[in-house]
Amino acid sequence: MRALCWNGVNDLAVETVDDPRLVNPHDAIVKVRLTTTCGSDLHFIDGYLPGMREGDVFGHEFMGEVVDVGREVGEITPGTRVVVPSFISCGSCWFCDHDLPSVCDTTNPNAHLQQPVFGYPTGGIYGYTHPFGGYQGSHAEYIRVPFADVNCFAVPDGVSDEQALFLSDAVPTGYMGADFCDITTGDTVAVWGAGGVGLMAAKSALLLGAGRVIVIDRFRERLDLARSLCDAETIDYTEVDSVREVLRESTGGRGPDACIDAVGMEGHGTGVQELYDRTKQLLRLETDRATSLRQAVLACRKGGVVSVLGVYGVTDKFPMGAVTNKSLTIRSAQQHGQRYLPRLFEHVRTGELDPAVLATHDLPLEDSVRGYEMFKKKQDGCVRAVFRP
Amino acid sequence: MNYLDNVVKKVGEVVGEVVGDVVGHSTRSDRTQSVTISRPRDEVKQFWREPESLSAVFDRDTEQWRATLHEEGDTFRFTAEGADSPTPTPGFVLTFRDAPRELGTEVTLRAETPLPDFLSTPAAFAVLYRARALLQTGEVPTLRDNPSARGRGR
Repeated sequence: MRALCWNGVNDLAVETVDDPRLVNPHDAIVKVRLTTTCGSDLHFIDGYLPGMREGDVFGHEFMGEVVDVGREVGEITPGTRVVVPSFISCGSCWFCDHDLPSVCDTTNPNAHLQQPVFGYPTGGIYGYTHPFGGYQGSHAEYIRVPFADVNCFAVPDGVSDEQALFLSDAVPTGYMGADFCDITTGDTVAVWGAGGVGLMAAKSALLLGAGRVIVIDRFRERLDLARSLCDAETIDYTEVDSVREVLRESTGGRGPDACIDAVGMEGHGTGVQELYDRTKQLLRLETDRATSLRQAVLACRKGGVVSVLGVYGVTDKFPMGAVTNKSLTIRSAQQHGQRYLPRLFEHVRTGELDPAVLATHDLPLEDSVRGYEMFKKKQDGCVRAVFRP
Repeated sequence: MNYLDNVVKKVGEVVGEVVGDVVGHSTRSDRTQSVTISRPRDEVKQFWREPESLSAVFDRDTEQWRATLHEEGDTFRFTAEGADSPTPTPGFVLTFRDAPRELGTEVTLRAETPLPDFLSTPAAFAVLYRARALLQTGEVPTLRDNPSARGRGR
């Protein structure tokens, strides 16, 4: 089959690889209909996250059709149109039982590589670095899905392929980020980053009762989307002296009730702090440019919630004093998609949420290298490039 | 390569060595690994008596290692078979105890020195992780037949 492979830092190619096959009794093979770029891919493409191997098939956000199932698969049958959350859940360990599927205790074949770093390993994910499992990714014609009954969600009528695609990751990640904020009616929520996840977090905050949503970015097209899709107010951080001051003054000196960071380790900023972070990152003295995370902590009102969705490695100069002294709550996770998918299907089916608008560029898999270039450089208003294998 | 590139490369090497030292030191000083398995103690102990279970959780690439199991209550000691020399025998010890709040069984693996070649500390954790997966889900997570472009003329 054809698949998009990581061959080194900023070195991608569509190549021919073996087809996946059923290995374990709870597996399914899914024919990928749609698969999409994700900002977290850029971290290993750019060389900031270690643990990829030459020839890896990557990609973790996808939907498709089941074509084969293992002998222990009971509910999912061939021919079913499904969406699959990016993290793999076994459905039976303590963490899956407690609705924390992305930290599943049994699905990471390379758990021993991650344990020394995090203390306890997360679950596996498709098409990411080897400490996160090393599974084949979704930028391919077919993919093996472990524990199919737990991880394959049948797409209901009334939900299109393009809508279902983003229920694999961008939507549940954004929705979870808003859910973490414990929003009460009328709250003000600030969101850093107007990419796929940030836009879905902003929209979800509205669905969960926020009265105001303020989105911070620097790309005009994305800020336009935030206004049109999410009824958000927007801040172009390159046009203001201080995002913190704008947020403080626009909330009567209180600050946002909750702040969502949907940027992660390759954030951009301005001024001395940006220079400092870029220099240290260049020298490999820190992995992260945590501009948005620091701003979120400092901008949030006292007693508020900072919800962290961006992916980070090792962050320097984290303002812990502000967390303690302002009585902040920090919540974070890789997405627990299996927890949210049933209610997200309903939001989409009833028209309250239309994630298909994220698909700004629709390309065949053979053009996926170009798709990543557009996505990375945000060319032509690219929010997400979608590939059809 | 210009001067700045050389500086960046050197700093990267130094940081890498420091990180390596820290990780290496941590690994060397920690010879036990534990997991909690949500199964009754008797079932977990029985698992380790079955050769097919051991074959499933030890690395498939491991060379054949013949061992003898010595049971002493909730302690299982595996020693290299046929090793009757006065020097210490490579092996490992498993201990089992009930976890609190009905969480199952706590299993601790302690590698005895000299370490069997295949049982570094990360490998010991991998063995316990696979055992837990097999006992709880009926399968071991695997990358067997995982498609990639490796091995295609590279």
